[in-house]
Amino acid sequence: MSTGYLSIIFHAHLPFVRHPEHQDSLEENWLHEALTEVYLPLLSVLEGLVEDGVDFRLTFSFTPTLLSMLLDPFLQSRYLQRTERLIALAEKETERTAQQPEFHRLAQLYHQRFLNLRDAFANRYGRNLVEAFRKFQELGKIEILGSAATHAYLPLLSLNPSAVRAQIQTGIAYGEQVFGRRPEGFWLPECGYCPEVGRMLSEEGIRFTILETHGVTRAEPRPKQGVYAPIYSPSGLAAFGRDPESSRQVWSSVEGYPGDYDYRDFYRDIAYDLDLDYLRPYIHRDGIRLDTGIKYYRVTGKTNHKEPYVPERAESKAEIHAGNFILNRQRQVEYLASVMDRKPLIVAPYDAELFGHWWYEGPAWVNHLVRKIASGEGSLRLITLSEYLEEYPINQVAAPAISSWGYEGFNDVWLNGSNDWIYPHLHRAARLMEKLSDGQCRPGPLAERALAQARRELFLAQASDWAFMINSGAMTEYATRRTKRHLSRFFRLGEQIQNNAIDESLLQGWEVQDNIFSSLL
Amino acid sequence: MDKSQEESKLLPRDSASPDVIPDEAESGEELDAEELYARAQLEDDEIPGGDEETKVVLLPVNPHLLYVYWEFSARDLEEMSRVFSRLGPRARPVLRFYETQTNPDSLNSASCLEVAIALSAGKWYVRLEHPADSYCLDLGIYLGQGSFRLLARSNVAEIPKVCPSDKREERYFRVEGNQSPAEVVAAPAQGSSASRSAPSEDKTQAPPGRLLRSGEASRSAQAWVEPPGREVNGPEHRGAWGSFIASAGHPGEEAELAVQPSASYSRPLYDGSEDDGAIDRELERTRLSRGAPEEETQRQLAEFSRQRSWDRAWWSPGVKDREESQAAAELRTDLTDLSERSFRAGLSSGQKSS
Repeated sequence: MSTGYLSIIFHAHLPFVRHPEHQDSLEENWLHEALTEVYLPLLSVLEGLVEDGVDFRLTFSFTPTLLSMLLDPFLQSRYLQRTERLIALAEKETERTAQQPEFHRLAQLYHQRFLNLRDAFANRYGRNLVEAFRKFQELGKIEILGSAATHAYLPLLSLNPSAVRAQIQTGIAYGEQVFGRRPEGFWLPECGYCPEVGRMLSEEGIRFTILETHGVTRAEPRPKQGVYAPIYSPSGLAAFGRDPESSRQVWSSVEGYPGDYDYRDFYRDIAYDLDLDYLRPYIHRDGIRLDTGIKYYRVTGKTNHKEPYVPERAESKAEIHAGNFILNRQRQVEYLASVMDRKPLIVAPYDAELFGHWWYEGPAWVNHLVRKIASGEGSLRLITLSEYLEEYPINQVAAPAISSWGYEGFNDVWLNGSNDWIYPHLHRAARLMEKLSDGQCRPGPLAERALAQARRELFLAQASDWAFMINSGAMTEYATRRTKRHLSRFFRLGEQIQNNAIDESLLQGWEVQDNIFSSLL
Repeated sequence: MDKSQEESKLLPRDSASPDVIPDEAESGEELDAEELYARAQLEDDEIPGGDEETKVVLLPVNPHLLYVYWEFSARDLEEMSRVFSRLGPRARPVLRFYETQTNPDSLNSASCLEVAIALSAGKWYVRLEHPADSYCLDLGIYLGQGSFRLLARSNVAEIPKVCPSDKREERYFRVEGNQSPAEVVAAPAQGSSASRSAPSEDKTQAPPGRLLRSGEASRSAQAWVEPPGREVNGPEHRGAWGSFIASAGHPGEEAELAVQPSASYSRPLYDGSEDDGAIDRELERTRLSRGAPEEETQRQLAEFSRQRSWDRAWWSPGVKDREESQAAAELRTDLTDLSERSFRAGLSSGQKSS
């Protein structure tokens, strides 16, 4: 008999970074790293759990931009090429480190790991990781949430309801198309919530969403159960609040598990330690040192001195940390159950990229966590959010508060002096899109194509990632270029459609480059 | 996999998206692809301008900061030019803010505040010490002798809340499957401990550390426009924000709430060892430590390492085996307060900033 529930949510997202126009793309490497370090290892964990008959429930949200890239044959092909290069590099490393036992063993492990990943990607999954995750959905082990089409930060688009509705509708439709099931829950990009967004989710038949803690605690009227039970918005949308304790314990850069001294150091990659000539065939064509994923050191301490990584110690620590997490959640639900009229629910959403990319041992931690809970350690039970609503369909009515999980909890990250120039353009583009869609333009196959491409370009311009990158100061030039590129293409297409003067060869070029949702639009 | 299968994998599955793959293409096709991409990227840096109606838009950045931008139609732009050449400095452009709960047609002009702006800036940031629930604004120009020329009225923007509500009304919905929400008459009688230690419903006294609510202090606003290249969320902005908060009565940021160096960073919330005021201080000290100097960070890290013995639970509400005041017990059962305080203590620790 459980005393409470734990719902772990992995939010998997990458912006649409597909660059056939370049022989080698720095940004596509984000996808390659995530495949190698996050999605394939997490799939491996899920496979192992099912093979061993472990019962579990986990939740995933895959943004449509990520899904679109995972299904893209061109990007799949490039990932295989990249993996082949990694295998060759790891093999070369086994030779280079032959006289250094502590590194030689690691090089061999990396070599075998990359071979296994290639085999899984190319053969076991036939390059299609979406189908691989779908299998676990069919087994009832994972619940998959929908999300906005291109990870738009919806509160700042809500001036134009049509723009928000298009993001929601297209995101849901694409998720349904690739996973074969309409989602009951919806992951709001950056947990960005405002009342208009909530109403629209209800109109689209969405049952629930997840908010940052204060989206629930500052609801009106005051929720009785804090974030340990959902509230219903006036339109009937269930809003689950993020539990700050379990978030901080895993995610915090200061006190979170990933900073443990036995875990692999994220920054110390051979790409920065070895001669450029040695590395040249395996990094960017222009000689830019890119992380290879081959890292030989553990965190060790707070100084630059690093000791060699010992996988067994790291694995053992992941198990200890999984036990510690359960112990803390156990204490938490015991207390909460003593003051609540129901079994409390701990909602713990994380960026999927934390597990394996930033925190190399993250997938191992998930593995131990799920197995320990399934074996009865503590009296917690894993649950999906829709299962919780099935068990507790009656919840307090309270209007969720405007909120996000960005720094300071509101819009500051996506709206400040560095990136505010984007919004007048996005709002004007949304108004133009409304005009283009009102059926007044001359119909015809070419106009239809142009209109579909205009939608793609607007969706891509609306991605919150660009404002986020501009704010952070990392990849500012790229993010600015992408924003301008999609806005420019959108407005030019709009003008061509309105003037019935579509440049077909230009349109073709844009269709090839920015081909997101080509099966839908 | 034979070669034909391999190639077919490289082709797009959707005929609506003809793809060209430079790495894989024949030499002739590669040239076509390069041309295609080169042409596609022409003029990508130029965003065509619009010539729409005059607009002003209001977006909240956070509970205390509003962003406003405006655009002029070509006709209004010409007219403005004529006005300024005729009146010179007597023409004073302003943003006139209204508190509004409903629609902008029923504005209470008595509650408006005005911010002088430079029209050519195109945008303005306005800081509010004690924000109302929602605002809209007029963009206009004083033409001298009390005459006001309205240029545009903004959307209504709801302002985010800074603390939990004091309203403790309980209504319940039942929502099942695809059915519409149905209101149920009473709270669900679920579980065995329904009313064991539930908080009093008639809780008129605000919890400790309650923030000033809208209307409890006189309204005031500060505004600035960002010079080109200056970031809004830089240190200067942060400093201004901090000093303002101190004057608004937020708990923990007042000068008398001194940092307690001996307190542990990761001490469990509500461990019952301190009075309520101390809990506030601890939370706020933690929050303040986000901007702590290096030695403070090091101290926190050392403290954290010391605490990190794995048989110890971080989360320990401490309601067992301890005599408590009734007020403290009530506070512990206010789960929204518990959640909110825990959130504030960890604010930014699990959030995205870069």
